[in-house]
Amino acid sequence: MIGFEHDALVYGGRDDFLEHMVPFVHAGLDRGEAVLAVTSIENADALRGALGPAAEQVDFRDSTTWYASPGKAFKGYADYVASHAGDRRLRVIGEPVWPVSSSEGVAEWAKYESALNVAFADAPAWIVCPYDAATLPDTIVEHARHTHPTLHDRGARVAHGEFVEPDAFWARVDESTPFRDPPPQRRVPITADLASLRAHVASAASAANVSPANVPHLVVSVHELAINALTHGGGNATLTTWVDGADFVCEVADDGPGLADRYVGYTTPTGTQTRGRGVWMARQLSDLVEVRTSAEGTRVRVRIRRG
Amino acid sequence: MTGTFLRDAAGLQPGEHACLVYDDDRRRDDAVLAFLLQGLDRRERVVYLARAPHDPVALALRTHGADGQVQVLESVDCYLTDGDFDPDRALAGFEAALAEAAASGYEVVRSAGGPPPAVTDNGRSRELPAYERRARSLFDGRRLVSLCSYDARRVPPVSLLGIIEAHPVVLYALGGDGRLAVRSDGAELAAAGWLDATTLGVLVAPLGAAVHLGVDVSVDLGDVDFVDVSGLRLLADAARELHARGRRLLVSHAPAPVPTMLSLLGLSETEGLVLS
Repeated sequence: MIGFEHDALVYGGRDDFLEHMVPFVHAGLDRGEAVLAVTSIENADALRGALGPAAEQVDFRDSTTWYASPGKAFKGYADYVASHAGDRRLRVIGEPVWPVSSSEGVAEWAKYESALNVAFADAPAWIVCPYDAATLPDTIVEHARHTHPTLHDRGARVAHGEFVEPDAFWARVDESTPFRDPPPQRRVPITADLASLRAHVASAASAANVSPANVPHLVVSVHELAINALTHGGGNATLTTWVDGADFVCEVADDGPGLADRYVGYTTPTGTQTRGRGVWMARQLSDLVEVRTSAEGTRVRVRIRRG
Repeated sequence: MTGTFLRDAAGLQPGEHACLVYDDDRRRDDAVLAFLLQGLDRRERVVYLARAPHDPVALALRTHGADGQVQVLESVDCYLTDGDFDPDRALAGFEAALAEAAASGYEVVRSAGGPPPAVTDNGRSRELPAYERRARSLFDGRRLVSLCSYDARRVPPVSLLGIIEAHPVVLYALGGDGRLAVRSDGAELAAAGWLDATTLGVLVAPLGAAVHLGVDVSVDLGDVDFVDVSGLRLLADAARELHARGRRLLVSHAPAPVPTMLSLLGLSETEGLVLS
C-alpha cells in the first residue's frame, strides 16, 4: 500500500509542461483515479486542449484562489483528500503561486511544501508540483529540490539526492530568514484583559487601513494566539503591531518552552487539541503566518494585507 | 480540558481529575458536597481538604459517614511546608491516602478541596498548573477521583487559564461579572458582553440547566460582541446534548465571524446546532 508521493516537476515553458503532465493525467484517468489540477489559467487551458474530451474528467481549480496563502492551500488539499476517502488513489497537479517579491512569503511557501511531506504522509495521493524554471528565481527552484523527495518525468517518478528532511529544512529556512525586530514602541504586554487586547488590535488594524471585513478575522486570530501564549507561555507574553510595507503585522510572543509540534497549524485540528487551534485559525483567517519557536519561547506573526 | 463542557459534579467517575472554577461560595459548596456525597453512597473513602475548620462543607460532612469513611483535613496541612507551597508534600499526601484507603478496604478515594489562599492568592499560583499536571499520574489506576476548587475572584487570571488547561475536566460555578452576563427565562437565554475562554464559565450552568428542560433551547447573542473558539465549543457541546434528546440549540445574532469559524473548526454540521 503506497502512501504519499510528492514530486517536483522543474519545467521550462508550456510545451515542456504538457509533455510531462499529459501522460500523468492520462495514466490516472485510465486507472479510475480522481485527478485534480490546480495551475495557472494558461497552463490549465493548454492542458485542456491537449487532453481533448478526457479533460472533462479532470477537476480544474483556479490557482490564485487555491494558493491565496499556505494555510488555505493546505486546507484545500486536506479537504480534497478527506472528501475522497475510500476512493482509489488521487492524482494532483499543484502549481503554487509564488509571491516572488516577498522574502517572508517565499520562505513560508517553501516551508509549506516541506510540511506536506509530514502532513500527508499517509494520504493515498500522488502530487506533482510544477516549477517553471523559465520564470521563477533560482532560489525557488532550488527549494523545489529540497522539499520534494522525488522529481517528475513524463508520468514517472525519478529519485534524486537533494531532498532535505522537513525538520532540517525548516530549521535551515528559519536560520536564513531570522525575524527582523519590529518597532519596540509598538509592543504591549498581553494580560488576561483580552477585551482590551482585542480593541487594541482592531484599532491599530483600522488605522493601518486593513479593510473592515478583515479586521474581525484578525482579532480572532490574535485572540486565540494570545490565549495560547498566556496558557502555555512562560509568563511574559507580548503583542506587537506594526505596518510592514503592504502588510499589517501582529506578533504574539511568549517565553514558554516552545511548541512541541513545529508543524502545528498544518494539521487539521480535531477534538480538543488546544495549541494547534490558534495557529490553524490564524493560518486560515490571514494572508500569511510565520512561526519561530525554540526552548526560549515562541513568536507567531500574522500578516494581513492593507487596503 | 478534554471532552464536553457540560458536566456536573455528581457525575464524576473514578479516574477523573476535575477542577471547579467558582466565584460564588454557596454554589461552590453545593457542588463540592454533591460530589462528596456520591462517595458515601458508593462506599468510597471520602477526603475533604477544608479551607477552614468551620468550612460549611466540613460541617455538613460531619453529619454523614461515621465509621471513618469520611476524613476532613485542613488544606494548609496538605499543601504547605513552613507556610510555603510544597508540591511534593501535596502529591505524597495523595499517594499516602491511596495506600491507606486500600489497606482499609476502600477501592476508591474521592477527594475535594483545593490549595489554601497562601498558594492561590499570590505568585505561587503560577506553579499550580505544573503541580496539577504532575498529579495526573495519581489517576492512572482509576482509584482516585478528585474535584479541586479554585476561587476565580482570587486566583490571578493567567494562572487560572493554566489551571483550567491542566485539568481534563472543568466545571464552573460562576455567577457572572461585567464581562459576560446571562439572562435565562426557561429555555430562552440571552447573553451580553463577550463569550471566550475566560468568561464562558458563566454560561455553563444556565445552558446546562436549559438542556435538561426537554425543549429546544435558544441563545440570543445579539449583545455579545465577540465569541472565541472555546465559546463555540461550548455551544456545540450543548447542541449535541440537545440533539441526543431530540432537540436543537437555536443560536441567533452571533457576531459576524462565527459562521466562518464554525466551518474552520469542522463544527458547522454539528447535529442540533441551528444558526440564524
